Amino acid sequence: MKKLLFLLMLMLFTVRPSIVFAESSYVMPYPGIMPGNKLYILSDFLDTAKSFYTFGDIAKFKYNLSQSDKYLIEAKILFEYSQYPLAVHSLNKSNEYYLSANKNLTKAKDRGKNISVIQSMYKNAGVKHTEILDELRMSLPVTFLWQDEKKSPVLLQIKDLIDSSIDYRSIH
Amino acid sequence: MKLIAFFSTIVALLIGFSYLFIDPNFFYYKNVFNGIAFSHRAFVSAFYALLIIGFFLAYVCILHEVKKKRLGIRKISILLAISFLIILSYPTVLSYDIFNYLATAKVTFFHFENPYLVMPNEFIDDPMLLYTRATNKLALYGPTWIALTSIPYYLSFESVIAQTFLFKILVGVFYVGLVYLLYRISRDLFIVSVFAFNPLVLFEVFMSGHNDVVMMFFVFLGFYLFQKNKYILSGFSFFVSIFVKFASLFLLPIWIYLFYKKSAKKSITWSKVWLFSLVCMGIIFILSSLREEIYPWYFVWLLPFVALINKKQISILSAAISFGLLAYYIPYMYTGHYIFFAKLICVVCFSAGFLLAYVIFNKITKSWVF
Repeated sequence: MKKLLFLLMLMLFTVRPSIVFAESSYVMPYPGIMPGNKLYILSDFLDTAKSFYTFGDIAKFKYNLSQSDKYLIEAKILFEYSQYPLAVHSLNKSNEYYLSANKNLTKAKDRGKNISVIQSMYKNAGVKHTEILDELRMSLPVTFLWQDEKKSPVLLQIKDLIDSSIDYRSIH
Repeated sequence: MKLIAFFSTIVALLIGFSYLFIDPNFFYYKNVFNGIAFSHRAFVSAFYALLIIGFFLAYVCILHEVKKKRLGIRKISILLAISFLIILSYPTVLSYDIFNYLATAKVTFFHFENPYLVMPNEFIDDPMLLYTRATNKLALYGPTWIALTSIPYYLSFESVIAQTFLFKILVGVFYVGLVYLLYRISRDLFIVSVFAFNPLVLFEVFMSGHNDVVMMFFVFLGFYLFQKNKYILSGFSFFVSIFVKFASLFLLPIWIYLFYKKSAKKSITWSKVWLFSLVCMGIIFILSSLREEIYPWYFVWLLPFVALINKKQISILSAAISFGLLAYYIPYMYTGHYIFFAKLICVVCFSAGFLLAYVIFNKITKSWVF
């Protein structure tokens, strides 16, 4: 009995608790061509062309969400490489597409389409995006003064942008 | 007259037979659902085998009568009109593709979604999911086909039963157009009959409503316009055919050859054009096994060229293959599934049917001169 108690006490002091967050199973895309690459303009052009080919609320929803995913991953990588102005630009674009996807969702619902599947997709995407944004918030500065050559410095409100991005994702 | 009576009888039998195959999930026909095809598999398989034998018997008799000049345009038109009645049959005896066509049209013209980006199964409470197979696929056909399906879709006023008939009528109209073009190109009723009354064509066009004949119509419209020196329209028609079903892209070398000959002011040997076109379509017919498998209705791509080449051995060979391809469905009908073993029997069935038909057709047509 004493041995058992001793073992239990030993376990209590040696085993460290670890915090595990629930992780979304939503899969984010592989980062494609990044800003700075010569082919980035072409990739952007193709994305715009695809938007003309995309019609219908569900198709547009999928397009907007995929674009939001793409730009969020782009922003994450750019932040990690301290390319803050480009990252801010990408994150803003991701937010725009995310909100557009929400508009498509509402339109589809108004037109009597069963949106349960895409709504759940949207929710899962929101959870995954929030996970990524939370991680970024912990590692990034609140503000950053960016000085481009021959240009006046710009104060980037990074924390505010990330907070507002998380707020957008809380609308389901 | 006896031939017309016999042909009408087998057409009537085929129409009646098809209604033994009503899918239990196709609830629009719940009042006429009988389940016989699923409970009496041996009977329906044997009956189907007899039907295809009957149709091939009629085919050989029609060709024989045309050869002997005992069947003129009027009687052939009557036989074509009787063939057209097969559209009254239930469509999914041999394949469920027509429901896929309907589903794609509904995604486009009812839900107003891009069928190349949105699958039918994304409309989870749509009743079409009950009876449509392969709902997890994006649109497989080109924009020409999707645009054409708007005609039967809107004419049906969203009645699914009306759609099943109207889609087949659409395909049937293109079949008639193709037959007419073959006549205009060849001016030979025998050539027309070799294609028009081939039982594989009749089953796949009028019963299953497969759109291959639509693609072939635009291909031949292109050839016909080329012969009439309307080159731009000819090229356009060929381009349109590619966007029905992409298989006709394999005829691109033929078109390049035609335009080269024309620009070089050289004469075109059309018998060579038909032969090389047959080879090109034969290549894509065989290559289609790389994508999924060689489906029997793909053989319709080759048959108009076979008819125009008008060579005895090629015609007999293609008729025997057509017989084998219709026999290919028998094991599926008998077993009700499409697993590897059943597929293997399908191949055995095709080979046996082909060999048997080849020997018989050779004997029957021994005295025929092409």
